[in-house]
Amino acid sequence: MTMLLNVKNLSAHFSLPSGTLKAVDGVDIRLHEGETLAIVGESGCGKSVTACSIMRLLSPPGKVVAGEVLFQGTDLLRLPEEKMRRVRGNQISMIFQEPMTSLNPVLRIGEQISEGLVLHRKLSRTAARDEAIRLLAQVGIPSPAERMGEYPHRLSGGMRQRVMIAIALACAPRILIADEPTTALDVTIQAQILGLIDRLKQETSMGLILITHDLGIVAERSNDTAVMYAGRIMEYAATDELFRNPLHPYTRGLMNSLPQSAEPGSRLQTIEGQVPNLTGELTGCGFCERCPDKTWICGKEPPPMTEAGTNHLVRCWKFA
Amino acid sequence: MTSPLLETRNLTRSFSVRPGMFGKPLLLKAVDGVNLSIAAGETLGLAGESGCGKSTLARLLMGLLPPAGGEVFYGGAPLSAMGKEARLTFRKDVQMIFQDPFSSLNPRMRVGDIIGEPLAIHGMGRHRSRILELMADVGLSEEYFDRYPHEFSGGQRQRIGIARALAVSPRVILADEPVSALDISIQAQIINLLQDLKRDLGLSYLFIAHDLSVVRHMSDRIGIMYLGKIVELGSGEDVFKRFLHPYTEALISAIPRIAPGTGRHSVVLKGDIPSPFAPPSGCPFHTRCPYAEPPVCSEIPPPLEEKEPGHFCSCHFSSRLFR
Repeated sequence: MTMLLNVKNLSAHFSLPSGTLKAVDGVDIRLHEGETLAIVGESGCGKSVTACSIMRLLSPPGKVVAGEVLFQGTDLLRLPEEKMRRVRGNQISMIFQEPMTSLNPVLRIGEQISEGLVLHRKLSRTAARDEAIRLLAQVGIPSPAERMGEYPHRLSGGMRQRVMIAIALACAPRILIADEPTTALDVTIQAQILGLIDRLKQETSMGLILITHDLGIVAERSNDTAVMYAGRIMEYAATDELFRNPLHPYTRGLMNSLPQSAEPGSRLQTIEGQVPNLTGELTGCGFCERCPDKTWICGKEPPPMTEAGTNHLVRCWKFA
Repeated sequence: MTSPLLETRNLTRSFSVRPGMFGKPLLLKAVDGVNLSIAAGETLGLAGESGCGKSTLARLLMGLLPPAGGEVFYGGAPLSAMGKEARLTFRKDVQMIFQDPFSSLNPRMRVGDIIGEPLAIHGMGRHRSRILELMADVGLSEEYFDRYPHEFSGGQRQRIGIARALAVSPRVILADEPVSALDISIQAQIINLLQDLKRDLGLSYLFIAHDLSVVRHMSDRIGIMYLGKIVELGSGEDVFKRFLHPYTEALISAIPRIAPGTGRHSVVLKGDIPSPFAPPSGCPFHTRCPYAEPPVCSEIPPPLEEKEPGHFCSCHFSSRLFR
């Protein structure tokens, strides 16, 4: 399978008055055609910053400080901004959690979809309009021609997310990055939207990076999974393998703390403590403060990424 | 069955909303003829999608909103006819925990003052020792007494909110999405805390959440709401394993699971939740129901009936579909 994206040693830092916050610290991920890579983790783990760094959408005080983002062989981090603009929205697209804030409230949805078509695909106004109607139909919006003239506030959350997807797919991108695409939606609508994204992915064989905090979505919708904690990937494996055989104490802790994993009413397992402060020097493993299995070395040296099986990488001293 | 502590009979509340400045006001039936009861020591879970009326129901139960029809009973007495004394007792006995730990705490008050405020209001003496005891109960260390809310994470703030609710020794806690803003690992800590407090203090909960696996974990009985109505009500086992309503089936089927491929068939509903301004005729769910049979479902509203002992459902065809 063709590799679409190869991210090597990506680091992104935020310069804050209180010090340098290492939001992303040496992340490696790979994405192949037609595959879904899930990036999962709790708030502040660096999953969204990773996505924004790939798209070069990080704004100060955030800055990518190291690494390569190879898209079909080209390092996106070294492209001049002008060329990057031709990649963004055209070859790599992104959809966000809150469809209300990522759509322009004063533009009709027809104009918002046509914008990319005119800009990237050089379509005429009328051709763009026809194509926009086709796209709206493709994402399952009823009576698409009439909907073209609506403003975003007239649509429900699920419909807005469909419009976002139509915009993101307007130029038939090779990669779609979906950052918590269904977190703001109800469960029945979530199932519709995830099904839609899956279907469109299969039709176009694009690669999908699915960023989520929901392990259930990860298990059901992805091929590979990267579990992030405190700016680093802690475990990276084929999704089936990860759920069958989770190795990292953090991954295991997350899975065990879900109510789904326990008998109703029983005591849930928890991960004690809280996420460490990422400003300042993090010596050793980012998880060691909360880790039930920590040993003397964990707080001293950061563990290396270790191959613990076929398609299974883990960053933990237990397996190094 | 023990007599219910908190009960609603045919509770109804609508809101009049004017679209734009000149539009004709529209009537939104947020809660439509709801009958529920919470026994002492029981957790009643309430699940449903946004706009189904679960938060309005909580506010009606708190007495924060007057009902348009029906009645709330506390200890058998109707809320509307309560005298000043009884009402004060009710206000002390029924407390609330909110979803957003960031907007439900006064940013200019110190933790000790936030937790102590209900004690002062109810004239129970704002003693430092009592506040420290409450802080210990919810797992907050003594040194936080003089700190401000902004210095805490979401999980810690939720603990402060819980301590505040517990301050006046309530009997019922209405918890509106208490863990949905929290990360998974923190969510588990708060769920355990709520379970411990229930056991130790003999509390009753109304536990509202959109996450069905959380509701299932917390609740003895579960009510499923759709467009202002209870469509199914029963024990956790009844509702999850032996559901009788197609909407419940769809909700449970839509939960993303970490153990996939367990042979469940996935029901994906078509369409959006209908606008509560113009709820469908007949059964409110018929526009999205995969089994709907016009004209029965589109014309006749199904009553909420006890189909099995303690298991209520409002569907014309439940027995044919699921048994």
